[in-house]
Amino acid sequence: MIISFAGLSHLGIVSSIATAFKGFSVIGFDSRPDLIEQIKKKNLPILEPGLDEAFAASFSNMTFTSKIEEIKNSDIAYVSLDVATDSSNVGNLDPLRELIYLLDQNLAPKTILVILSQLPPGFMKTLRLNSFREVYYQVETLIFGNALERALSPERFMVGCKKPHEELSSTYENLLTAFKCPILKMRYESAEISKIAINLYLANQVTLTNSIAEICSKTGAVWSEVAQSLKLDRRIGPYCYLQPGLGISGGNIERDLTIIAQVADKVGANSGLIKTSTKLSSYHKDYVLRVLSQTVLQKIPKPKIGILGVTYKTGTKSVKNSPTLRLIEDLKGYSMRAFDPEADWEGDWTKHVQGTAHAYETCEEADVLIFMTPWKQFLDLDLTKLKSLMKGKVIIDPFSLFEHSRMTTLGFEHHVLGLPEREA
Amino acid sequence: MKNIVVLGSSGFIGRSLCDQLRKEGFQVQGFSSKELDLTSPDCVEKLKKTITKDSTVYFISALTPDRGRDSATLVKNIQMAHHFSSALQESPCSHLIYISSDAVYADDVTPVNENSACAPSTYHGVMHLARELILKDVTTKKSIPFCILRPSAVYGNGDTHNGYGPNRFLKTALESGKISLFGGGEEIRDHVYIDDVIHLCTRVLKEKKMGVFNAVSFAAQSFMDAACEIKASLKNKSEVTIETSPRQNPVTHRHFDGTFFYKSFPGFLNTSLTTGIQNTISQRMEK
Repeated sequence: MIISFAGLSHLGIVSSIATAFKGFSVIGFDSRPDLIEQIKKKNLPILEPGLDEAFAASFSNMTFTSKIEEIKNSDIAYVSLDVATDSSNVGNLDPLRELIYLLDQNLAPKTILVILSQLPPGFMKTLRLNSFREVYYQVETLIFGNALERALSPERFMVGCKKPHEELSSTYENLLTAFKCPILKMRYESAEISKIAINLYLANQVTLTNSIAEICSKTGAVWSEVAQSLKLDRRIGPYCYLQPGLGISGGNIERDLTIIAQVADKVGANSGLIKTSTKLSSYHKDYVLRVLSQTVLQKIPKPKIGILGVTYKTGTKSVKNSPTLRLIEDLKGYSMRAFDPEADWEGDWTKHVQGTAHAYETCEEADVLIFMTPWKQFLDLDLTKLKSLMKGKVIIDPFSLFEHSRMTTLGFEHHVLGLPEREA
Repeated sequence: MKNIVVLGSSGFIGRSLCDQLRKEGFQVQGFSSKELDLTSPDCVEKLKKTITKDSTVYFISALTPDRGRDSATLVKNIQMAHHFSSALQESPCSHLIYISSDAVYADDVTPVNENSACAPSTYHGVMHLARELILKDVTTKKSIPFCILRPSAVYGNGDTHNGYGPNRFLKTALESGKISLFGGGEEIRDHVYIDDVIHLCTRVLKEKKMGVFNAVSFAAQSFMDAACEIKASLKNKSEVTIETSPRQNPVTHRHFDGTFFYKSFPGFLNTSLTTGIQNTISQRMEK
């Protein structure tokens, strides 16, 4: 069986490697020849834990091409292009639509088309494809930074079908069965909403966690003590997002919040909760600015600010919607240094901050040090050395990377999301 | 040097603002209600002669709640804005700064930010919101940069209103040795120090800011906290008793979210309630 993946962005790369890793013959297609050449040289443009190793192990099952005719006779062709979003979190569907029609026109009639890209509700209904073509919408639920593991061991497959009461094509079913998880068939519309429903639940978990953590900070409660009881509650559970952070970032969940609010408004459903989640995410993203203003900016003239971590989360190079970029934008004009072990150091924001080669360089003479991304590498920093390098003693550590009691013993003023403000 | 026109120059904020602007070397034309009655249509011609295309105008003048909490006062206040707006139509200025109030926000919203819904529950709040709209309309039509400041309860020396809060507490503490609270003074409110409001007013002028900004302390405290601060600050001067009373109304709180303010006015230093009260007392003692 030959499985092709058209569109080698993050989704396509991870999914194609996971499928090859399961033993299937895979062809990766993308119309950008330079990208194909780069991948052929085993130089992946994305960062995901375990991905390089899985790619090396399954490389013999994979070929890559920028020529559409070379995937013409695939048994299954996945459309795996990520839907890019603009600064308003609105997805641009034009490249995806073009790719779908390109494939429909060029693939053999027997080739099954499976759309894996992130779709808004109602999208499948708008497609006008060859009537002989079998077409499915398979919902992806990858997470940046944990994508390979989720691609190899999905909890379930959600498959949108034209006729959900009928059996899946046996070729397609054989592929999905190899992943040993439940296969849920449903109509296209239900699959489209399922994708978004998952992200809305996640968004609300994140928002609720951050909201309660803020209340903890202001009331003397300790969030981690509260969270342990939530983890053991079967109705909430250990996989709930119970780590406070800086709002929702990365672009995907924001895109779904935006689109479902638009859909709800259009059909007359109440979108109040969804819009509130978006507003609160923006508020939580500014947590560091608020603490920084109160502890440093209003007290020290021309402070030097050290920023550790630029990516929107660990395990990725992506800075999409990163709270750090927003902070840098807000602090334009201040003296800022920053370090990140992996970030794509591109874009306008780089003009406003001095990049450093090492974390210690960022700390030199800093009045305040902010840990914006909880990279594990930062845990290896020698805190005594760090203290001696810094001019000030304020550490803003939203993710509680360091133990609070240790930091206060060392003489730092340590600010953590979910810890009592007055004990900083 | 900029030509500054202050409408409402004899009130709490207006007087302090004129003093500060003059101290900084600005040329200021201040008008009190006695000098320029904005409720009268006659004021339009005088305003047209006073305002030039180079003027920055602070519109502070208002009949505050202590002058009437009724529809007649509301109408007069709106007339004042209408007359001023008529003058601006024919004689536009270079920058308009309107001193509004946090009374424009809905009572049950907390923390309040500049995007919070405006749903005033008092004539005073309705008045400010209506005036904001009137002035927004004329400034849009005449392309005048327009800035709205919405202060919370302002305290400090020179208050002409005697509203419930730190100023009244200090006055009664000094006069009778008593501070009377509604209920237990549990309500949390944002008490902003007059010097901070003035500092913000001048910064808005110098940076020619446009848009809406809350002029508050971002460190809300209860009325009981304010009373205790006054009592503590006066401990070496006089004995003060804080009296509570049976609660008549449910307790409501209001905090402000400073995110937008911090972004707009980097480095702005707000005065703490403790320092503000101590400053107020020492200035009063000097007098």
